[in-house]
Amino acid sequence: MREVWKGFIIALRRWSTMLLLTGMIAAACVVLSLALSDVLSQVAVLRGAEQLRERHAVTYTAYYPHGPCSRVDEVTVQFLADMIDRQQAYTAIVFNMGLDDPDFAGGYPSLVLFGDILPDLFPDLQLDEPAPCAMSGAKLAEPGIEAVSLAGEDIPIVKTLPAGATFFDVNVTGLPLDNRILIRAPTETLSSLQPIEQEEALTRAVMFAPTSETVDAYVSGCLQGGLSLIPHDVAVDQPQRFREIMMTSAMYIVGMLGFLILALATFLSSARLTMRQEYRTFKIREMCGATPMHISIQIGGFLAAVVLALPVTLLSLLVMIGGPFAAGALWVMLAVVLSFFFLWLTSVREVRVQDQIR
Amino acid sequence: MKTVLTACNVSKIYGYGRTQVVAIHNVSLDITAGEAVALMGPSGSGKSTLLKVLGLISRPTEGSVHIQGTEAGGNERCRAQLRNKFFGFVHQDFAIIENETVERNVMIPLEYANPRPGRQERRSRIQTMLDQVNLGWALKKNASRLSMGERQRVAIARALVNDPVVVLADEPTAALDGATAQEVMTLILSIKERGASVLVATHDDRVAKRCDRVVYLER
Repeated sequence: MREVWKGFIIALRRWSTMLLLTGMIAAACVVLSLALSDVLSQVAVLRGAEQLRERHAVTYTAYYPHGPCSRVDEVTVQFLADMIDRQQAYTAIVFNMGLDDPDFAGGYPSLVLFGDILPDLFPDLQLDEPAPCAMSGAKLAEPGIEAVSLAGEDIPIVKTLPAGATFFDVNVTGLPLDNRILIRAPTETLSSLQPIEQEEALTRAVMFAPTSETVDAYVSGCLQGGLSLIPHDVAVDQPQRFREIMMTSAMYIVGMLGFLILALATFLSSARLTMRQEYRTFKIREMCGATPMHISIQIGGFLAAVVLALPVTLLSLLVMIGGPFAAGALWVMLAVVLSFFFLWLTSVREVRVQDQIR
Repeated sequence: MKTVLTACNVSKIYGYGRTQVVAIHNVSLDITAGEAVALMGPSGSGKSTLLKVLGLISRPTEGSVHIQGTEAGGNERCRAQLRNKFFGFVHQDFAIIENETVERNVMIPLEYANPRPGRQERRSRIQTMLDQVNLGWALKKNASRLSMGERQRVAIARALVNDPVVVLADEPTAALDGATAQEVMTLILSIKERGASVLVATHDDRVAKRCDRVVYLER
């Protein structure tokens, strides 16, 4: 540990340059991890969308969604419920459930799902069967409630979801479930929901290979109740949208990666210069009883002070925050640690080369 | 007199093939306790290399080094501990660590000592040693602010602080004026009073004359 501290001292002696370099590396790492998290989410979306494309799914977006709440008639709601029961559709309520009841699901954010097809569609979620049932997110191991009351029915919380579970929603993309209560509700409750809850359930409907007559009937049924829906064929709309997203993300990632490599290359050059300047120190220590291992650890301490200390602390914070940032931050942390080892080997070699010259 | 340091048929070759350089070839040398030996020879004759090999900084390509009758081989850790326990180094090029205080410069051998002396003992030994080289006043001074002669005296204090058996000095007076050089040599040779030995690589005849014996290396 003393040798590591001596390495830190080498960096502290050049604090202004090293602070600038560590700041550049840390900034590049954080931005890169955010960009990478975005791309990883998009990849999850792509995988989710693939399932929907294979099933020729049709999704809907609401037109003028911020207008007065719609009141869709019972027939249209039942139309959707019947399709869900025949496993030709599913739907979800992500944001609007229990808006007027702060104690709904123990006050935790919730996700209400309708559809027996969901366990097959999203096997990674390890959804419990049969509905109705509820599951708590991995970070809510003890949510303090045993059941969720939905439309007058008590739905028991039966298990905990796997850590990092993410629900794919066509419009929300990846929805992390670690801090949510997931409720698998029976279709009978659809008609008993509040209008705003019902509106979201109708809007988020995903239908599998519906005929054009089915889509027309559904859209016009909703329109009569004041809910204007625009249908989207996932197989047509999504590939183009994802291509654009991936292209933008890729450009962003390449840019940030370039900046990180530039910062590391600048530091490498600065580190080599420092090794040459500190050669006398290493040599005196060697004469006084330091082993090559001591010297290597000192060099490692110097590099760690610049390359690891600040960037890894910031990335660890992102990992601790969790959610979509965690995965990107972990990958960037791995890249930074690998870069550190490369720089370490290079710098130790630099000192050895000096040994041969003198 | 008891032999403290022996080189048996030591050779050191750097590089391979066409770039191969024979720095020293088949050198044998005995140094007895309390003896001062001057190592002389033209540039490139291998004086510094022999000091490095004898001081266990580099390994001989052939031959062996014995310290108090025991062959000094083993792994780097053992060699580093032997280096710390038996040798003190005074080197013209590696006199001090700049931007460190004089105290921290002199403390280095004590940091690697096994067992490591406690803080109080370290401070007391450093102060005593600096007093002996007339630098007691410079304890907390930044070493880079010292003159060349003072820097060399710091290096001598560092070489002696661990009470070594042999002091190896590589051109310790090369960059010093005549009076300062004599002062530095007096300090280095003072270790003989404690029964320790000195091996000095030098070009300076005045330094050689003050030693008990002169060994010449030829190219």
